[in-house]
Amino acid sequence: MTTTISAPNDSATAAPVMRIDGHVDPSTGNINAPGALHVRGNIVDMFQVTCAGDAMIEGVIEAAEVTVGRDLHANGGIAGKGRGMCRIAGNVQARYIAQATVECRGDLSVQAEILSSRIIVGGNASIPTGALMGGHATIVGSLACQTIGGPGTSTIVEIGFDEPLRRLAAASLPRIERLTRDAEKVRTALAPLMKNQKHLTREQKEKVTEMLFEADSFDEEVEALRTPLELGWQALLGKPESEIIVSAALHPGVTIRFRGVQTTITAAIKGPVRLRVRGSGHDLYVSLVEDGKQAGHALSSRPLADPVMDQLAKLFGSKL
Amino acid sequence: MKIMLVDDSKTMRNIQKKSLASLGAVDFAEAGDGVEALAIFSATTDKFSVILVDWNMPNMDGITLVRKIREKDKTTPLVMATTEAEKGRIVEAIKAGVNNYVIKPFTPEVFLEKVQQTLAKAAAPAVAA
Repeated sequence: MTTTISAPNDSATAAPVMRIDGHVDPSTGNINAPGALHVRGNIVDMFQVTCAGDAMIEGVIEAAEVTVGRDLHANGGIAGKGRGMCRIAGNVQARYIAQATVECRGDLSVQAEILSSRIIVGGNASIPTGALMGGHATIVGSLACQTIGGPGTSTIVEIGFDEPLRRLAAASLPRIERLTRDAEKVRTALAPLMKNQKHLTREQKEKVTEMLFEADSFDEEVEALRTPLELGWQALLGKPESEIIVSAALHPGVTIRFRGVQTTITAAIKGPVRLRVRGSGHDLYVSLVEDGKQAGHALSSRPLADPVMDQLAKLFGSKL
Repeated sequence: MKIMLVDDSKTMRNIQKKSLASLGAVDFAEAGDGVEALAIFSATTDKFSVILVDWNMPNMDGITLVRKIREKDKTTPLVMATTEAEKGRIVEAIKAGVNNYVIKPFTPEVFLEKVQQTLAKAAAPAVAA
């Protein structure tokens, strides 16, 4: 095994590339690359790899923890054995993904298939010549693949959902509510005192001032929690309509979810087809459009509750 | 910017500090009474952008501190932040040399506005009478 760090094109300003000629294993220890990373071998079970730039992994990413600041090229595939976790700030290109959790903010492109994995994608996902089988995929943009589901598997596909935003909202909204209530409680308690300042003792005046500042600090904290939620929400609103494009087959046992509505496939559907959400309000349904046709037909659909995102919609005053 | 906060309540100094941090990079000095404040003032070579002074404090009160500072320095902006709301007290403070006066209880907005007013006035070029 050799590890070298070099600057591409002999440029002194370019981010260094850390090169590992063998595996990331006990011989290398965990890896923390300040720039890009090139691993010729595997990243074996239990090892942690962090890189600030792009990562090119020629071997297999096993049950390891990989964090990448830009794009990941997993040329040997990702075989997480139910424990592997990859968090990618940019795009992901992988030969295959099996039994792993992969979360990327950009697009995901997989050559062969995605099997029994938890996939969270901030952009679009494509498996142009392969299957999405088993597991749970949550995608902000659209999904294009050859097949979804398979015999004896249950597959959940969520389209148009921003999972990191949903998680952030789930964590922040209760705190926002509590802080808003606390600030209001303080101001309500102070209102009569502010009207009768002349009758307050010196100590009371000091205390009232402290409480006014306390209420203000609650407001500031609320604002700090609201800002990223609002930015995420506005970004989600600005995205084009998401859809699923299946070129070969959609198998029974697949649950398709769009915002507010879901359907479970009960009989095999031959591709190429597109699935979109249609209707409005309480009459949303998943529409199946066959190749070459403009109009679709409604699949048996049922409402999908998403209290966290509904609360966001209420907070920022617009529906998705 | 360098600001000294003089108040016997650490809580009050902390909330003032937090509020003033929104003005940008501020280097704070803190004192719990007039004696401590005067020692810091005398030992500090850089001029303070503003000094915020409470009136009622142990050892040396705020009005005495203002007079002592003015004996040495006529220009450093001084703001009295106090519960003393009587007109006579305000006049007394102004005569002693404070540039601004903010009465407790005050909101963060009022407090910040008074400090900003004082800083702006201090930064403005002097107009000949």
